[in-house]
Amino acid sequence: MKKLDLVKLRNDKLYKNFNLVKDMHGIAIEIKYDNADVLFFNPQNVGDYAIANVKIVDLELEKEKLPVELEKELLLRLDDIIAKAKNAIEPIKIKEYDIVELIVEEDRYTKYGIHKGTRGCVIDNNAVQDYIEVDFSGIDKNGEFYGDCISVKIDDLKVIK
Amino acid sequence: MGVFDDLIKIDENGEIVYNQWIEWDHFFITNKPEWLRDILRNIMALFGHCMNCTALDGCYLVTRNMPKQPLHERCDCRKKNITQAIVKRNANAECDIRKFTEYVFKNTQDSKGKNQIFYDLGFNIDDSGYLQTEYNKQALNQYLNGNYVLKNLDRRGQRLAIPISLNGTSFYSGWLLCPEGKIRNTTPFGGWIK
Ligand SMILES: [Zn+2]
Repeated sequence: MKKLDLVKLRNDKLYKNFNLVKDMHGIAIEIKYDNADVLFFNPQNVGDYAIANVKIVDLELEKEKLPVELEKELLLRLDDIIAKAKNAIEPIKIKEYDIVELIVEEDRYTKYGIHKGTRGCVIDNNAVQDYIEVDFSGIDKNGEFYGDCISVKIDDLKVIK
Repeated sequence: MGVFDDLIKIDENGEIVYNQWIEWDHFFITNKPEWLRDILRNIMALFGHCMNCTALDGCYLVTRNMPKQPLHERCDCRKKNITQAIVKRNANAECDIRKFTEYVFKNTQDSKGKNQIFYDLGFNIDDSGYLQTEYNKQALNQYLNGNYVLKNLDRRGQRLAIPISLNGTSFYSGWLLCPEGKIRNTTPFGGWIK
């Protein structure tokens, strides 16, 4: 195994504290004797990641490789990536079919007609860069449709139920 | 029946439409294996690449109905022509039954009145399985004919409004476009067709 190899966790027993689960994929960023620092991406939130130290016996080497150009750029940015890494994969606080309320008034929502205080239903379990999909649409007393399905920053929402 | 039957369609207004399919392509991102696609998309996020573009990577669209390329300044995305046969082979529609059991039919407050539309059309929560099957069938068929409306596109992907017809009433349903012709239902009711 070498730096920037793609790996799969084949045993998650020792890593529950990191919220790592079996078969999760990652990038080995530092190999030391019998262990490695591995960058794991949050399967529930694209762009979110943690670095965990894992025993090499608990890893399986994948045959796929990162494109060479990406490896080069990754190496250049690695210190910064490590500095910003979390110590564990963070589960997202909101789940599918939760009823939520928008707690901010921002242009990125008002342009779709969604204002502070509007309630909606979360319609996906996965986030992208902390944004989750919420259906704010509804039917008024006259049978007319209003609202939209948009992505909303998780911190801009409060779970009602 | 020739190959042109798939390319040329008659739409609901009797107009001839031409369906040339493309696959949106963002450099370095593969469709499969899925875990590698996820890793590559995550790396692109770390590098600050446009996530709208990486979300579109691998998605199938008809040329007459797709976001314009380039999507932004210095956008390197390309499009590859693909045959209707590829789209037909790979495409599938996925509507979770909970869209009905846990959302539309849950109660009036949480569905924000959408339950009444389905009650008025003669359906209730016991019909959720039927509705799921019907949505998957109808949406896939509409998508394969290029009959979808492009809605907002962001880091989560391209949303589509796709017509559904139930007991003679037509309306839009909301879907998210995913790689290789997969469409995933977001909301069962996305507005009346006007
Ligand atoms: Zn692009």
